[in-house]
Amino acid sequence: MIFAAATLLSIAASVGFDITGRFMHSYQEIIMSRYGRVDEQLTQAAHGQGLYLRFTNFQGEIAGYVTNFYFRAVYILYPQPVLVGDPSVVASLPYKVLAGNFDPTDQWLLQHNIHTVLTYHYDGRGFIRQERHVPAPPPATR
Amino acid sequence: MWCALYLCCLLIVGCGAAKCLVRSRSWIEWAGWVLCLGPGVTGLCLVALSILGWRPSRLAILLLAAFFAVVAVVVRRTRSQESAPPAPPAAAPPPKWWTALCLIAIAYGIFVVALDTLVYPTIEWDAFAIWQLKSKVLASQPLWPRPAYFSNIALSFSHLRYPVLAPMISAGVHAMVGRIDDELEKAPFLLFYLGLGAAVYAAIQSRRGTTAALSATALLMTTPLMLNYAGSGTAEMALTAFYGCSIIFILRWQERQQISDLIAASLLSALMIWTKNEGYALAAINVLAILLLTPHPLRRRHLLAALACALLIAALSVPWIWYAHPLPRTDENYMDRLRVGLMLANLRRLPLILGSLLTEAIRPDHWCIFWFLLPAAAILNRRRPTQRPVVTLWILLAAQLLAYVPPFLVVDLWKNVKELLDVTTGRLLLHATPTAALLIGLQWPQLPRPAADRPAPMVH
Repeated sequence: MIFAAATLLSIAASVGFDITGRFMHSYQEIIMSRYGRVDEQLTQAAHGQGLYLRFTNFQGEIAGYVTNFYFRAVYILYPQPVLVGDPSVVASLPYKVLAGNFDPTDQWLLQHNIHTVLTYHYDGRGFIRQERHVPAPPPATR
Repeated sequence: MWCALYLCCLLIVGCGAAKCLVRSRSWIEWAGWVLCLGPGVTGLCLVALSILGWRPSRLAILLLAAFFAVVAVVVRRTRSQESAPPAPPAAAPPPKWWTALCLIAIAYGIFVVALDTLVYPTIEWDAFAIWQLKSKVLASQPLWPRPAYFSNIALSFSHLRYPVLAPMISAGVHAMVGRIDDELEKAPFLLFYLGLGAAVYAAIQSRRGTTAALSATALLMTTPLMLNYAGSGTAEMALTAFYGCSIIFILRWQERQQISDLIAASLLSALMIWTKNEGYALAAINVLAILLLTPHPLRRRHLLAALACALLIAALSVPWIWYAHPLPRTDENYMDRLRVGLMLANLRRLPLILGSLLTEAIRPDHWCIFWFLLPAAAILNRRRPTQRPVVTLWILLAAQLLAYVPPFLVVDLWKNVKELLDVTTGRLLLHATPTAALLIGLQWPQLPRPAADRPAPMVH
């Protein structure tokens, strides 16, 4: 009987944990709304032509957010190109992304078929974004 | 609508595959096989077509379903259904209130997993960074010629060498719907959740009765981590379902020595290899279990059976090994680092690894007291005669947990191995939950039937 009661307790507690996290604290809703905002920012900035993501003032604990932005951008925008640095360099961890993250020139962007730089800057309270669009070069005249 | 049709196609493929492979003893068991085999076999077929140069398409999926529908009909006409086994003699039926509570809990689990798979977009980290990104790649291009994705070093965070079965199952959704759909791509994983529950229930019910089966299934399907990952869009649910079903077929092989159970266990083991790298270890454990844990393991027939199993797994897995071999090996290269010398050099990590597994198992927000019930059931069951299925499951559980240790001994990517342990041990234990649930169910303390229900004694 004690075993049966313990089983029932475990089942009830499991359901309780899930209800608390999911519907009372709304963890999923919070994450969905945050990614929803970022997804919209990324999609609008890319204009269907890919992005270069630039990160400034991402230090300490905030540095981890670079991979949130980068990985999410790659997923949302695929198959559009998304770069954070030299594409021949592994960029799987925040410190690697930041180490290779530079301010690209227009020529570099065009060489990699990207027309927008989306810069995320952390100002101590939140993330401020700034877009820079690179116009496509005029077609060569004959 | 197209997504619903895709799920129906998966079920039809599952019916055909299950009809070919197994004879079921109850409709719940049958449902378990259909729900787990359908997505797996469909995914494998789509992968095969993709390697031949055809990316997933609506036509290919419908033709697959039509083929397996014909197979199911033909096999049904030529084979008779197995009769249900008699109920265990001393199994008291559960009280109605107990049944109601377990069913309410299971229904809640189905509801939230359905929400995650059918309504919410993909938000779990590994799901969008790895598995569903791959599903977009596979929906857009065939596997041959190799898409540029697989050689793009900048995308190595998505683990370029990870197997592609789970993403291909999701890619089928994109193909059927006709566009990349970030919400519905996880829909097939609901079938794995339902199938695993049905298979575990049926396996316990036929051996230990309804109370044990219902209780263990409710425990399995409502653990917080299961509810978290089942509909998340990662490959964890698929691997857990394949592994759970494969060990049930190993138990059936032990009892009945029927070749169909062996083939099913081999197919599921191969599907595990196509799902996650952990599948290699789990498939190897399955082969060893078939070799060593059957009655009379040294008989020629059983040795040949184990060899056939290994060959079948190898034959089904070789295409992926061949495909993945030239792909870039970046920093998280566990397979190449699995060397005895390196493991011995890092043995000092062992207390940390085992401690992390133990710490994870007792986390109430992840497991409640699920892992405490396992030794408790064993202690309560200690006076019963030794049962082969119980011993087998204990050995499989221990082997599985031990098999997960070596990658942590050789990993060099993370500055702190503890960081890696903290984010992965939960999922590794998730893979072991079907084994644990089966053990809890098969060791469930039985209440005797009420005297009024017992058959009258013979009077001479």
